Amino acid sequence: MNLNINNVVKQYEVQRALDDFTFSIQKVPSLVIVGPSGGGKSTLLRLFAGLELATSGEICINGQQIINDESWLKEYRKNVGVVFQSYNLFPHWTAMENIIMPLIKVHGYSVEQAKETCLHLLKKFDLLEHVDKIPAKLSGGQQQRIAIARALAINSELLLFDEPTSALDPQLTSGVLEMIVELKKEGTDILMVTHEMAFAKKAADYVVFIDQGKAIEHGTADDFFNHPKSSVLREFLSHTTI
Amino acid sequence: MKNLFITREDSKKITKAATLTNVALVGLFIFLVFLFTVIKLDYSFDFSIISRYQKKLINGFTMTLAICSISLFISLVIGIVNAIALKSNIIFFRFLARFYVELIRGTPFLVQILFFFYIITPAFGLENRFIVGFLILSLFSGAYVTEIIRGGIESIPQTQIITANSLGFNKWQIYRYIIFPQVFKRILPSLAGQISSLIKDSSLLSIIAVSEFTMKTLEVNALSFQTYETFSFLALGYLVITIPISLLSKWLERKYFYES
Repeated sequence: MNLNINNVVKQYEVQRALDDFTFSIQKVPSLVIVGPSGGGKSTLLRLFAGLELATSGEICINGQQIINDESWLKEYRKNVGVVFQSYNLFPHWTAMENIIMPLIKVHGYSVEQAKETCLHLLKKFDLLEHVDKIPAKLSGGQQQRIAIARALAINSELLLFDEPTSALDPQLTSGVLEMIVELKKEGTDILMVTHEMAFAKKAADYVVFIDQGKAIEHGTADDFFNHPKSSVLREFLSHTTI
Repeated sequence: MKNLFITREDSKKITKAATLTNVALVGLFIFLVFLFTVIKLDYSFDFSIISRYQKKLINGFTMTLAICSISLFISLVIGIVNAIALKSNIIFFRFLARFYVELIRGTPFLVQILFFFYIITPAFGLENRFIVGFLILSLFSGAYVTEIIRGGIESIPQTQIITANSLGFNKWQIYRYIIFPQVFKRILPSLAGQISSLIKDSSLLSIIAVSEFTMKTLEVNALSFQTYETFSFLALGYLVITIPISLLSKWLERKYFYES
């Protein structure tokens, strides 16, 4: 993926979440965003997802500029897959309905087409046994994997993950992370906010550290974890277990 | 012996023997009150008047059912439209909906009936009392249904709306496919309670001579002077509808409590 972010400001009522944020990468298959809570990483991801408007500045993903216009963003959102921290699945729908309803209602698939796409994905990720279960009957990890399958179903070239494992019990995270690694191997571009440093180390091609609304440091995963330059990052890494 | 009458505060189980004894005692208590009034009023019963005037009574009962069914439907429509208006981007709709709900909930139903009947009805040239009846009742009940639906919508976590947005659902689709199906299940118990209120409140329409159950019973009373029989029959008539609804409401509450 290519990213060009120029002087992006995101101002909430009292708080400035992104402060003149500038950052760019070329041809990076998987980017991981790390940083302390409240530093601006989730805000950045929401801007990428088209869920919020930047106060000012310019964001370009794979050559496409995000336009600050609600009706344009509506169209844009349809083609970006997002997986949030938790409660991704709608509780009144089965796993299958969660996947096929957006395909049918938003993307104009026929019911048969949608079901076929859904079953293909669930089979591929070994989730077929859960097809008719409602979220309450699934573990948090299974829910997240189905949410990822749903994000994949729309054939987006880019998947965004906002701390997809941070609401899960530790023993449930591995299944979700393995699925993400598998996607990466297949060539899907991944942009992920996470606290899982071990995972970041393993799966990220490039890592950016965000604090106080700015990109403090970024680099390849190897450089980033083994040779951190700034003292803030060194401090941050020393507090995280890898 | 003590166990027949006293139970622990936190205990939900009451033994069969205690239940029977106490039901009998309640029955006896009511009977004694009844006896007292009969003796005091020197009342003589003639239950044949119920069958003598059965046509009137049945007509009234059917009219009450008809008015309530129509009002239920209209108040649901009002409730849904209004609950959406409360969340509308257009400020006028928001204020209008809020004003309507506060106005209805803040004034007695009787006052609304009088206002509607003596001011709105003649101004708009409405003459049919049946129509006037269900219109007033719908407007009244609609405000309460609005609040029930609003509460239901607000109980849907914001994260679901964000997820739905990110999947590309538009506002209408979010209401249609995500919010309303969940809201509907959650509010069913309170909605059943509202139906019960609607039926009871409809008796006030007798004040403007809508020929519903209470009105017809008053007529029968005026013709026969058998107050005890007619009003007992009236109360019983309402209970026949409201008790099953109350049971249904409790059943729905349990059902969805375990599901969520």
